[in-house]
Amino acid sequence: MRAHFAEEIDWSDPEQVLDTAGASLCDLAADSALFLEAIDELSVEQLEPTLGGGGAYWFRLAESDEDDLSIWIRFCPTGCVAPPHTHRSEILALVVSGTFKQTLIGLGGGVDSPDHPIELFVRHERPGQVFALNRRQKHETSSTAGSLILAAMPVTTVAGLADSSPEVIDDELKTKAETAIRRLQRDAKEILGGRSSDGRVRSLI
Amino acid sequence: MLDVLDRLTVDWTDLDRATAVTDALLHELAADKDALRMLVDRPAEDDDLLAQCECHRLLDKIVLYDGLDRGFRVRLHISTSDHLDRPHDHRFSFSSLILAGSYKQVRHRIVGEVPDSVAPGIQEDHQAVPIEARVEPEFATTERVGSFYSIHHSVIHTTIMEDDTVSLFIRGPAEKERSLITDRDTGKLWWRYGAKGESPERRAQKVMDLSKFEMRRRKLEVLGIT
Repeated sequence: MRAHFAEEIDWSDPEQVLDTAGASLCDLAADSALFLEAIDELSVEQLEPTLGGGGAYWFRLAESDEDDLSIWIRFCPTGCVAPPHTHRSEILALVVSGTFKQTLIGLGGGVDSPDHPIELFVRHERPGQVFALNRRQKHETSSTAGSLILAAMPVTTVAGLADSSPEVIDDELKTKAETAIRRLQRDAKEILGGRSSDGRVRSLI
Repeated sequence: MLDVLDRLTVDWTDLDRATAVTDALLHELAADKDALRMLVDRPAEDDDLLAQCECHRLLDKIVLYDGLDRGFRVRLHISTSDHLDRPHDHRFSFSSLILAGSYKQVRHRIVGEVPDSVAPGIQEDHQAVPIEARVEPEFATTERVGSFYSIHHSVIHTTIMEDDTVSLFIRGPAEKERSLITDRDTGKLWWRYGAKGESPERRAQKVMDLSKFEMRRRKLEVLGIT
């Protein structure tokens, strides 16, 4: 992970996050062997995945206290619609597959801005799009079935990401999470190819 | 394509619905090179369209179709080699599809009050006045070929482009008399008005005559856009 993220990330500023780590996240996604191995090693017991508002599963792939960096994937086995929400931490995200529509909500700030939050941006993110947002930025998202996002966040991030009370997966949801993981592992091979790595991920997680 | 444009109406009061309409239109237009070439050729034959084309410091605007009475105007934007961090809003909401190049786009929030007392005549960067309000980034992304988005007129954002970045752009009607522009390095502000509110000097600076238009048209051919 250090090899990919060489620079220290200032999480307080999304522009700096994009500048210092955006290309690194793209490089990490392009390292298909490493990425596939990380997905292959996912398990409900090991990673305590969370189910975000709208039905997206979040899995933590790796983290480094020293670098204040954690790497996550967000996967929607079925289509996901998340109502307006903020996040508990700053996020840098890369759309790997599927499409991801997001509407940024807030006060515009320009001339004749409405005095209440409105839809500011409507964005149709496609694979390859990378973006960073901070904890203040409210957005509404919808993702196509099978969509996959690779994300980086500060390591201080706790399980559960949205302010809409994400659900920690308990026994009742475990079966669903395991199904999602199997679907992700199958889809990832189609998206990223079938190469294997050298066990590097095991040492990172 | 002209038939489609001649029948089109866009309602920007619902940004989500406007986005659905403009997404389909801009992607269809981008995929039809013959139609795009035909539209790019129009200002050379239409004085009204040519008069609406403009040369700015950061980008050139070529007007392809004017349906503002039905809520939209279609343009092509070509970035220049000047790349400055100038947070601004717009007088209108718009959608954009990137055809060539790339750029960083940052959405800012305003911290502090933008003074309304800055004189209307402050319309150039060399006239700009310092203000206490500042901007803070909340969202940042890298727009690249194929990126598409719609944006409300009140959003404060910055776009820092590569040379010769080309966007297919569709704007709505003006929703206010003026918009603001700031320079992040100096913390100064000035205003931008529509053609009717601009000083003669400002208008003269922006004119794209036929020879300048032809240079842009050739550039679009070289870039493989038309």
